[in-house]
Amino acid sequence: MNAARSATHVCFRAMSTDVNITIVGGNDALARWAQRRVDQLEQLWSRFRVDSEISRLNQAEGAPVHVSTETVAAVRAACAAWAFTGGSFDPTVHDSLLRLGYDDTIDAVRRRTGAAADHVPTPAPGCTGIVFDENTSIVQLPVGVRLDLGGIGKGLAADDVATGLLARGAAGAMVNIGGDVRVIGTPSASDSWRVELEDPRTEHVVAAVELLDGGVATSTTLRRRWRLGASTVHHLIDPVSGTNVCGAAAAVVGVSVVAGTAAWADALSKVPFVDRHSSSSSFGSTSALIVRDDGTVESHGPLQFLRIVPA
Amino acid sequence: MARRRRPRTAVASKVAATGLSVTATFAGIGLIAHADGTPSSETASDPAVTTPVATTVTATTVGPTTSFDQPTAATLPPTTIATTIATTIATSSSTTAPAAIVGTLAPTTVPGAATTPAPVAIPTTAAPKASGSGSGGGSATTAAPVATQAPADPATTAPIVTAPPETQPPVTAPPVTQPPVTQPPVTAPPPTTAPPPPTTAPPPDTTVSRGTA
Repeated sequence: MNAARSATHVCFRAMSTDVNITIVGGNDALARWAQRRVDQLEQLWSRFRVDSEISRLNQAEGAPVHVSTETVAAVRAACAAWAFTGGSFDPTVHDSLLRLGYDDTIDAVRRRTGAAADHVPTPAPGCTGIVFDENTSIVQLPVGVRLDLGGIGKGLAADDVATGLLARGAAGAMVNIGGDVRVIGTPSASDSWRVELEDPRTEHVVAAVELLDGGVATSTTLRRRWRLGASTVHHLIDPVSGTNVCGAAAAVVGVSVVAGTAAWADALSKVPFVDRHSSSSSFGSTSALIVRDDGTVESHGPLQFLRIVPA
Repeated sequence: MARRRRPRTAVASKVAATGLSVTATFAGIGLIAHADGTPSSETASDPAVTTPVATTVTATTVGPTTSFDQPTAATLPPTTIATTIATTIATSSSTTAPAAIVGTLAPTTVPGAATTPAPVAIPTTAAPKASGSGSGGGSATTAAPVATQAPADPATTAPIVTAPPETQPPVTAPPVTQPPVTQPPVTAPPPTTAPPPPTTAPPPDTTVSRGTA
C-alpha cells in the first residue's frame, strides 16, 4: 500500500447536480481552479443559459458559429458517440426533451404545477450534416438540429478537470459530476481508485470497480423524473420515437459503464435504454453493468465487477 | 449580364456522403460552401489572387461514413480477482454493516491482468446509501463508511468542504480562548472543531457513481 498522501476535497453544485472532487498532492489553488473550470464549461455547454455557446449554436438556424475549442471538441465527441452507438446515443434530442417538458433546469421543471400541453413526440434528427472544424473552431448545425450535451457534457467536464489537475501538478484526481466519474493519477491512500455502483431501485451499492485510470458513468430512468400532465416521465429519450423508451428496453432501469474516459462511459450508458438488443459488442472494449426492473444484474465486457451484496 | 464572381483563393471540395455542406480553411477564416459550390460568405478584403493555392480541408461533416475515434477501456490495477477481495474481507475489522463479496459477475479475468494477488488491501465494507436528499446526484464521497485500510492522512478524512478550502475555518484547532471544556452548552464548540462522525467520513479514493437525479 502506498503511504497516505495529502488530499484536498471540494464539493459544490454545478451543472444541475452535485460535484465532488478529490485532488491528491494538490492545494487550495488547484481546488479553486477545478471549481472555476466546471463553472466555465457549464457556461459554455448549458442549454439553459441563453448566452452559452450551445444556445448560440441552437439558435443559429443553420449558420456557422465560431465557438471555443472546448465546444468544438465537445461536439466532435458527441458526434463520435452518436456514430459509434448507431444513434442510440443522440445529442440532438434537444427538441424531444422540450416536447417532454424538460425545457428548463430540472429544479424548475419539477416545481412546475400546471397541466401539461398535449405531448407530441419529436424524433431526434441525428447528427448527420453537422459540420465542425477544429482548426477554425467553427461549428455548423443543420437547420432544425439542436444539441443537448447534458449527460456527455458532465463526462467531458469530469475528464477535462481531472486531466487538467494533473497537468497543473496534482499527483492524482477523482472527479465526480453527477455520477460521471473520472479517476486519474495516484490515489491518496490506496494503489487504486474505487468506484462503487448503485442499484437505482434500492440505492444500495451492488458492485464496485478498482481503477488506475478511467471513467465510470451511471444512467437511470428512476432519478431524473418529473410530471407531465398525469404522467411521470424521465430524461432518457428514444431518439427514434422522441419520447421515453417503451417495450422490452424499458425494463432496463440502470446502466453503469466503465471506459477509458467519463465521456465515453456516459454516452455508452444510454445505449441499453434504447437498444434492447444491446450486447457486449455495443460497448466496444468497455464494460457495463445493467440492472433491470426485476432485479437481475448482468455484466458485459472484460472487466470484473466486484459484486457487493448489501447486508 | 450575370454578376461576375470574385476569384477565390481556396475552394472547398470535400462533400461528405450526406452532401449537405462543407467547410474549408481559407487563410484562417472558416468559409462555408454548399454542395453546389456557392459560398455563403466571403471576406470583403479578399485580395485578387489569381493563382490557386493549396487548400487544406479541415472540417468534418458528419455522415454515415465519418470516421471517429473509438471508446477505450479503463486502466485497471494489476489484479481484481475475487479471491483476493474475499480474503481481505475476512481480515477486515470493520464494525459497519458487513458486505459480502460473493464473487464476480464476469468469470473471466481481465485480459493482460497479472495473476498474482494485488499487494494492496482493498476497502471491503459495503457503502450504505448516502443520506441526504434525493435531488442530488453523485454526492458520492459522503456515502461510504470509514474504510478499514491504513489510516489516511487527516486531510483525506476531513469533512467535505462546500467552499474553497481557504475560506474554511480551522477544523482542528479550537479557539485558544474558548477551549471546548469551558464552553457552556449553549455556546458549544462549532461543529467544525469536532472530529467527523465515522459514518460520514468517506473512505479514501472511493466514490459512488449513481444516475443523475
